Amino acid sequence: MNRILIAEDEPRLAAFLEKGLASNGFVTTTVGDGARAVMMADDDEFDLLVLDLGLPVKDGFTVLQELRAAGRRMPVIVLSARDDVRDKVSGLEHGADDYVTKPFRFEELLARVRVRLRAEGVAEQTVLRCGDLTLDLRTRRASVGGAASSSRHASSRCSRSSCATAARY
Amino acid sequence: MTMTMTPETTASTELVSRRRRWPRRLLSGARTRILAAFIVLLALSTLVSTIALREILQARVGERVERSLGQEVKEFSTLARQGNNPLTGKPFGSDVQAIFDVYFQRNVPGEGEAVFTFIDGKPDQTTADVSRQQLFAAIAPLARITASKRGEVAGPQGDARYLAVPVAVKGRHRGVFVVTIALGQERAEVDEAAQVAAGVSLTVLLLASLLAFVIAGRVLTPLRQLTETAQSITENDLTRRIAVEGEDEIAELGHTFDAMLDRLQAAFATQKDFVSDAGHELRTPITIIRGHLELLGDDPDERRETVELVCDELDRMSRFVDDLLLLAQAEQADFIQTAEVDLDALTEALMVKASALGPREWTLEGIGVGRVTADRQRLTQAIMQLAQNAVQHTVEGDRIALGSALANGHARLWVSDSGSGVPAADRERIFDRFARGAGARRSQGAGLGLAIVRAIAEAHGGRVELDCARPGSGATFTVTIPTDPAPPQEARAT
Repeated sequence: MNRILIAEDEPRLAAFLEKGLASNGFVTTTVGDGARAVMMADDDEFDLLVLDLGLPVKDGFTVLQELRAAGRRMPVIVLSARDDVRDKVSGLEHGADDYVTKPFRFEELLARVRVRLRAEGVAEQTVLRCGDLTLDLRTRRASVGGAASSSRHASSRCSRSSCATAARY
Repeated sequence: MTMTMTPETTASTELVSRRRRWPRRLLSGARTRILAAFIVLLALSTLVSTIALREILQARVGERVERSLGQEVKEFSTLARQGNNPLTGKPFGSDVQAIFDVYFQRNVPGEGEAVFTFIDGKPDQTTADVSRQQLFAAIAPLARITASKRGEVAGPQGDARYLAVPVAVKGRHRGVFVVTIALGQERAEVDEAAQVAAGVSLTVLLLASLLAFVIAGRVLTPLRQLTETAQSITENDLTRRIAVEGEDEIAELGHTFDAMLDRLQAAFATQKDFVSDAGHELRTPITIIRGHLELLGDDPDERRETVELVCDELDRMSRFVDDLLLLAQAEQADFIQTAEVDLDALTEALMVKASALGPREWTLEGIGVGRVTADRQRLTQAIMQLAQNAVQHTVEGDRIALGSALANGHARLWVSDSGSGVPAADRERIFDRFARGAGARRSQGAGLGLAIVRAIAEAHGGRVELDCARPGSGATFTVTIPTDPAPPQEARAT
């Protein structure tokens, strides 16, 4: 189960990031300012950081700098409302792995998250198991005791999140 | 002047047009005009001084000639009156012929001088050795004069100046004594001197012109730099400067130009930041709306929540766009429509409106009684914005005071709160666009509120001030406007 730290001060933005990432099998933690982002990234084991540049207390660049200075090598995807080339270059130079400009399609962010995790060699868990219930997140197919059934159904969300919840423990 | 062609079309057309201008520039350029004026001036002074020199020398020659003539005549008359005839040892008496003979024996004429004598109207003797007849013929009209006479006569070797005196013996005019001095030689010398002086002056003129050309070029170099820099400046590159050294007018122009560029660069930077900030403020709600819609499921509760959230974000965007438009309007002359406003009535109306903003301890601190010329609607908007800010920075039950006063031709309207005040670091920039206080959330607005208040105050010819005299115990924002119609504000700082 991949753990993703979301550093975003806008609660409504963080809310849909959490929701979307969780429904795709990621476990997320959200922090609202730069100082706590550095603290959490230091303390806990996260596979990836989604970092907003315009954070209060410490801005995204500072967070990046401090993390890299502390030897944290986790992939960082920067979110920014500025598509200035200078900002992009500066973000990447500070040690960001990818740069997503607001507004973005959630699918795009998700794809980038997956690419980064794969590049880091972190095995992304795409099949969730819970007892004899398995759910393939890529193909969206669920099987109970080996009997496959299409999960392209409203209830798949429920089973997916319950599987994800179960898999956390 | 060397020019390099660049592939850019605009740049090359610019160069072409500059080349076309070049021949015209050569004729009408400042350097050429300075040089032309200089040469004309110098040539004129050379001409005048040469002519003056020649005239002065001529006059001196004339004086000298007259002196010499006078001297000769004086010597002759001394001889005639006091001298003795060497043959008889007695005074000459009436023997004019003897006087002339003795004079001619004793005197050797100076250069250019010639003495002629007439006896009884007939030519007698002369010191001139050439063309005796012609010279006598030229001065023949003087042969029978009875009073001394000065004048010029044209001789075979040029003009000559003469002084003729009659010689009288016992009341009878017997002879005439004439001294002439040739002027040709003297005049030629004067002309030569004038020519030499003119030649020297012309040489000096040439050298001075050359120097003037170089100096004018050097003096004008900063101007050329100025032009080139001005041409090289585009919206994207405002970083170049003239950097003129010195204290003269052109250096001053360079400094002025540089200062203007500084302001221009700052204005462009501000504009760029503004657009960037505005983009940022619009992108955040768009991202939120898009994200929530993309992840919208089938759950009716979730749908309802999402619709509410999306509507709220759209309202926020709409308010933001309204604020932006308002600020853009503030740049225009018709931003405020002024009329006579009763300050006391306005204050009371503001108090009523403000109290509806939230449960606070609203206090009316003072009412200024009188009339002001102002835009009631805009002024209300500004004060309500301040009241709204005060509500956001206080909690239920906190005190917020409103008030107005009239003094010294100015009306003051203030909103004072008992909140946390404004940190010293933020006080300077708090009225700038998008300047949220440190740690402020987006939910408190886009940071345009105080910028709008300032725009409204300045449109009235007034100002808005923040008073945080007691740190940590609230902020007082005061809008001060003149009671009389203010002259239109030409340029407001952004």
